[in-house]
Amino acid sequence: MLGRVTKYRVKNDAPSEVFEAASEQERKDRLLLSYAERVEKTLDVKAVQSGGGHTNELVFDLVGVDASIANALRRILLAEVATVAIEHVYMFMNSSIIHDEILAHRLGLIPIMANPRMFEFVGEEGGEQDEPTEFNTCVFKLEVKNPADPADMPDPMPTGTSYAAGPRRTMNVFSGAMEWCPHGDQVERFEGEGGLRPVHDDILIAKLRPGQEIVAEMHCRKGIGKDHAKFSPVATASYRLLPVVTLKEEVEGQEAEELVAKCPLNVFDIEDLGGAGKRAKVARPRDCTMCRECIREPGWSDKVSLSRVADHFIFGIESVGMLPPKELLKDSIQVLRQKCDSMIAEVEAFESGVDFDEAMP
Amino acid sequence: MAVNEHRPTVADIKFQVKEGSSLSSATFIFGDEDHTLGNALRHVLMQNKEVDFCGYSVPHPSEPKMNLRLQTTGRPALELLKEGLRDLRDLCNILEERVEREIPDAEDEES
Ligand code: SF4
Repeated sequence: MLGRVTKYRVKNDAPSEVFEAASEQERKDRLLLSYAERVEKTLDVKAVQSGGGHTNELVFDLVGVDASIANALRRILLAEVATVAIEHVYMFMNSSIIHDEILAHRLGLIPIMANPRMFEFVGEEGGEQDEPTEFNTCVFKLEVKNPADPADMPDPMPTGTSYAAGPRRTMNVFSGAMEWCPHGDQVERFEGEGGLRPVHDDILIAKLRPGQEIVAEMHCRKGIGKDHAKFSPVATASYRLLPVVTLKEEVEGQEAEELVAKCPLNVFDIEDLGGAGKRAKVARPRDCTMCRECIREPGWSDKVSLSRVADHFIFGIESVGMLPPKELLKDSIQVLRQKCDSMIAEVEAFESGVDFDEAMP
Repeated sequence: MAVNEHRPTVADIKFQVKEGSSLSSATFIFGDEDHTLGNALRHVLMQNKEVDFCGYSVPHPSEPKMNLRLQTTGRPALELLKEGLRDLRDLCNILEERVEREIPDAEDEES
């Protein structure tokens, strides 16, 4: 085994190699650095003005890391950052048309505005094992009835309910009808966050005909998306590589107009050269989706080149709403570090428990 | 009723060295890990000059296990594995610090 010299090198994921350095000297210097020092030099994070400026959305540039790191963060955001969601539904009365289990499932998917950091996992060490406590569970109740006699309907209608259009008095039940039942010191603990509630008040849960009613109690616990998608804190988390659109030759006059018209994402602009006519220029390469429309017609691939920067990720996070996307991103980094830490501990425990040489058969 | 009756399976052993490993080339079995740590760790280990080969696999998607093969140019594989984990942790620290510095808080964005 020792002394074998064959090495397979693939750009961007090559073992201990530096490809993009200003000079040979710099390349050599960088090779002497530790991994952390090298990352320190290449890594860059830049916030990008997000689409609609919506606070639940974050777009940023992650530069100088491998796809495996970006993908680890994406996977953790989707499946391993904890949130609080409805887990147990105690149905006391359900005469609506929706079956108990379907209703329970619908309720489970409603995002709950509860800071997951203020909760423990059920069965977490230190906490009482599988028993629900005020530290690992929060309770909501849903009590709605569409009276058979219209005269019994309170005025105004209970929060989170309304009549559907039409003369038939069908009642809509929205997530706003869920009521938080604080236990223990939860009122004080969640005071700063305005109490616990569903993230959105206008999610339709069920429809009730006159005479039907639902009475249920819901217990929420902390969990991760790996267990059930309802715990996923993001609507989506994704990344794409930064596109590079270049014009290999000058595209002028009529052709420039054509090129601008071709691109559905408006990547190109016309530059007015004064007396000398018009010239196309690449104005918004970030918007390019690599649809290849601009090089589809014969001859155009000689004029336009499409490529990507292999270590520049445009990372997008859309939060469901319980935590701002920046917090989610920080949480995901923490989860990854936590994985490393616990694995280091495991390896060390293994080392101290068994002599490595002996463990080898 | 519980909204989800199914629970993910949990590995009984978190870390193991696979039979047939030698000092400098070993296969490690990670319990409760998947591509998330596997691929990231593989990448980090490959940046180490003393690593001759590194690859990972998830043998079966319904088994909570990830295998990592590590062949070194001489030093014990276990040592390099620990170094790799530490490198990945350092990367997390750097990343976190950059994120904290460069990305504005949600409140700032609103104003
Ligand atoms: S690939 Fe599509 S989006 Fe990109 S520049 Fe060409 S036409 Fe526009």
